[in-house]
Amino acid sequence: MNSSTFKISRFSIYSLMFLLSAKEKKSGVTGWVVTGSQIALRIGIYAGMYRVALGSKNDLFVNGIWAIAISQTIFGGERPQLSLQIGREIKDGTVSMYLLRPASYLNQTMFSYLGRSLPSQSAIATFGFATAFFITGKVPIALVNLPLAIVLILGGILLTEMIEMFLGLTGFWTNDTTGVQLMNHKLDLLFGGIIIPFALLPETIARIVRFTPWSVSAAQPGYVATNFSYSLYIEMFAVLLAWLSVTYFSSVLLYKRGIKNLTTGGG
Amino acid sequence: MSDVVVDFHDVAKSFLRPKAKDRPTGIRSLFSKIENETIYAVKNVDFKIERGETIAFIGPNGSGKSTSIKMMTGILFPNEGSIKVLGLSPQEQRVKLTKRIGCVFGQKSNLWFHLPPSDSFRLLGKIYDLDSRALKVRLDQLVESFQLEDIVNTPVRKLSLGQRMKCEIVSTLLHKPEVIFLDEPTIGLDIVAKTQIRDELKRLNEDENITIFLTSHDAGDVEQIANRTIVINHGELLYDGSTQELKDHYVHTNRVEVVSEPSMEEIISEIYRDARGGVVIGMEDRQVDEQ
Repeated sequence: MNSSTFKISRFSIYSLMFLLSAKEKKSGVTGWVVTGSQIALRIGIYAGMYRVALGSKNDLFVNGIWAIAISQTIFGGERPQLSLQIGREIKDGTVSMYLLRPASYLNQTMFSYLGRSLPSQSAIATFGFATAFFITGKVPIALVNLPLAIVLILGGILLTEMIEMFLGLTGFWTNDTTGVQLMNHKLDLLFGGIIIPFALLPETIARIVRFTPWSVSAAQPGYVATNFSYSLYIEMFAVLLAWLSVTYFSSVLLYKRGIKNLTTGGG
Repeated sequence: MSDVVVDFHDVAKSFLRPKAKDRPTGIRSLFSKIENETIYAVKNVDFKIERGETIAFIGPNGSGKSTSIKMMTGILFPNEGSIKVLGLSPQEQRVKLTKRIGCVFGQKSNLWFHLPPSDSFRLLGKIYDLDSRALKVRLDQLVESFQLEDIVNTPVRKLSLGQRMKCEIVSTLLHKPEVIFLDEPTIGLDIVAKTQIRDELKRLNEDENITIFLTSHDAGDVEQIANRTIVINHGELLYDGSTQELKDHYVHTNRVEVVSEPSMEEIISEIYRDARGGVVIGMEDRQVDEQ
């Protein structure tokens, strides 16, 4: 196994990297509240739109609002997005600092990004779920299903960043990764359940869309959590694992090819 | 028996660059095909370095120094030739090699900007598979010799450039590397910090037999640290020999340029050569002594 792939024995390195990144990014209570408040406002706006479209006293509305809170948490990673960060590191040569350590560049980058995202994602989750409860007066996730729902949400966060990582690595061949990042963002909006709640899609379209990586990462964790059944959960969990494997190994391949093209300026 | 730690054999590294001449401008540039030309950053450079040597790798900006270091550390791939560092191929066995070498890039940081250096050292200790006791012993020794006791728990963003650079060097020495590559380690530092770093590097070379490979634009670094100097320009090797010989045969004059406000003509009261051969510049209300 080479340095680009994941070794369980090295997990302690990456978990420490995750924790130190979270510590570095911690911005105090004020910053945390400001980040969370923005999401509360955003969910409030969506709630107004959903109320007009769906009415406010039915399960579709309640589940839709909670699904929005979950997808906002999944998308709540640090800015700039991972794809832009990797693209910049390839161009300015920062990638070379990671290569001087006996550890994988992809794993170092992914875990430090996830760590840096933790403060903002925890704020978004706290304020988002509180706002969803305040608006709907219900929690549509049974306590017994909560751990499984959390696993799916964490998987969704990981897949979102895996897609970002894959796109960022195209920076080995392109001048700027902003274009592919924007395309990905639009697909997130369309299939990730943000513009149109997944439950509102026509059945034939929903049947196709639900297996796309954008839906699996962002819309399905919320949909499955609020419409829980074990068969639905197992199906989505399997698809999630499949996409995680595809994006990870594609990223490793892209990295191995790209690193040979690295051009970094001297002194 | 010789113990070669770096074998840089007939290495070339080229890049493609759009031709600057005859490039159409304006709207025509959107429809014209870009023609590339091959630029050699390093061209058929060949040298060997033995264990315990102190090497200065010097040349003007863009001469190929950093590119060479990046090839020796496995970051860049050569187009031609072969490189072995400690018997390993940096490109094929990069991870293995990184456990035995250290590298400082003066313009890139190994430390976490908002955290104290102690946190970065802890993480790097884990990355290099050092157990916590071995890390503590090594760190205590390095912190003492680099005089970092008062700053090791201060966030990096609050450190001076000199303090930060000392921490950078410590971070590359935690795993007791056999060779360290330093790319302009004293860039932007004051004379006190430079002297401390030079003294420590010399001590590490003497006490731990660490091979030092250094690039610098500072003649003081070269003179005080390196026994051997390699000069490179336009990617080609111009000189490879002892630093003393380079100094004796090629450096004939020392030129000191002094810029002042008001101009020197207005404030100089006298200039003369003292008994030691140094030049003394007397000014109206102060005196600057230049050797």
